[in-house]
Amino acid sequence: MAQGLVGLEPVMIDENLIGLLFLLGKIGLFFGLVFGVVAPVMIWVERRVAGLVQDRYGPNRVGPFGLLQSLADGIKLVLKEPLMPEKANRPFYLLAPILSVIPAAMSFAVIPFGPPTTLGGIFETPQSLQIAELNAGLLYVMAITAVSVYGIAIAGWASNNKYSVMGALRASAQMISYELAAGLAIVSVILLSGSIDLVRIVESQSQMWHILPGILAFVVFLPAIFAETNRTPFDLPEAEAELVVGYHTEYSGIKFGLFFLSEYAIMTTVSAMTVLFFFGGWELLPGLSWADIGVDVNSSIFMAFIPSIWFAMKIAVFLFLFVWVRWTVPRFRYDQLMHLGWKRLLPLAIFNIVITAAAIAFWGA
Amino acid sequence: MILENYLGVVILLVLGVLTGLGAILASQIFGTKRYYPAKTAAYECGIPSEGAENTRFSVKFYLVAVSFILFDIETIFLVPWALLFRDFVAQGEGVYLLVVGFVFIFALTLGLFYEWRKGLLDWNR
Repeated sequence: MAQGLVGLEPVMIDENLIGLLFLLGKIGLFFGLVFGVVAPVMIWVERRVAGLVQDRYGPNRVGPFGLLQSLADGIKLVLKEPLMPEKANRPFYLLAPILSVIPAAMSFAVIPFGPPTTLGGIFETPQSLQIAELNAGLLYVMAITAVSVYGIAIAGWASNNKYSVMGALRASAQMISYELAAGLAIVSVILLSGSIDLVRIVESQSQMWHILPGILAFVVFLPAIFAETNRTPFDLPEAEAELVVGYHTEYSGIKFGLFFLSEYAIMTTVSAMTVLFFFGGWELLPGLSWADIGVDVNSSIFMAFIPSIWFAMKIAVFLFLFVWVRWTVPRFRYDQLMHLGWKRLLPLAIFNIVITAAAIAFWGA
Repeated sequence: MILENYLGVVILLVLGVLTGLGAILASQIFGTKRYYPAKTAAYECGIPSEGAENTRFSVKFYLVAVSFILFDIETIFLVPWALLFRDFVAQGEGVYLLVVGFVFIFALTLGLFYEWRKGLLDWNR
């Protein structure tokens, strides 16, 4: 047909070309959503909820309900003076904000945002809705979120300010401490699902979400991700009452904006991780699949994204939890923080692996 | 074949670098620039900075980093064990793998309690 229309040699649409376009589409969709929609909207939600919790309005002027506030702030931050303290180490001072954006951008590469689909027959075999189909996706996402500590550590050191150095040290110590607890909690998720491929981990939860057998792992994992993203009640690196704002004291304008943006992007990724590990990802309900209610993901492009919307709603619940906790729970003291991480969560995570493994060995499922 | 799957990762890496560089360059171009010494001095609540910037800090931070490396490696060793656990259970060798794993976890826990007793985990000591 293409031959008749164009009158030239047959237009062969290369399978590789479609694959590449599909990949670019996925990247554009996900990158645009996380950096262009979710992060700015979350910043607005954060400030609006803060306002309402503290019995004031919060941003409500720019655009409908103040939704465009983050956009206005972004433009304002770009127009601000690019200030650099004279004692700062120039190359590293400029490198640090970029180093914190890179893991934020890379971390969601393996997050599958829907079941494998043929997109209404465009592909012959179902294609995974991941940007990068890595069979060790779990290890990848753990590694990349861990790398974000470099941006913070370098920012604090390069600023040459005592508050920044202390903030960066605290951030590093805290992030690596809680990463252990999170890592061991995830080992029991691997035990439950028998895979480190994120698509398989979700598929293994079609009958029962991991939250039920893995409730202890979840209890360990949730505080650990709060600590890893430096969110209240674990925001010791920024403790504004004692350290000004910690590692980004000397950062202003858009360089501060980049730290801020990547914090919210990483927050989105860890919320997605929580949903994937414990709440069944895009699966509808335990024991009730999408096919059961008549949603065939292979029938059309529209149908293919219905599970993704459900997945996004689950993520939104956790994003709201982050905000809610921040304006409700007071900050820990630093020794309490290390005490909780090393003496409570770490032994609990090890204990959880032991009982999970024993249960699987003796009762099969 | 396997490397192809990393194309998306590389594109995201490039996008991340471009976002960071672009934002910083844009602020260099569009931002107003009026510097004077008080503005570029290290921030200290509006008063002249006191003492050295690179202050000494507790050696505990190093110790936390060292014990992190030890425990993190042990966590990584547990990943393949957990990954293959169900396969072994399916072949009826679950108890064997369970015992092997427990010996390893026991050694790990022993190390943790040694650190605990030595006071490495008491931050306010």
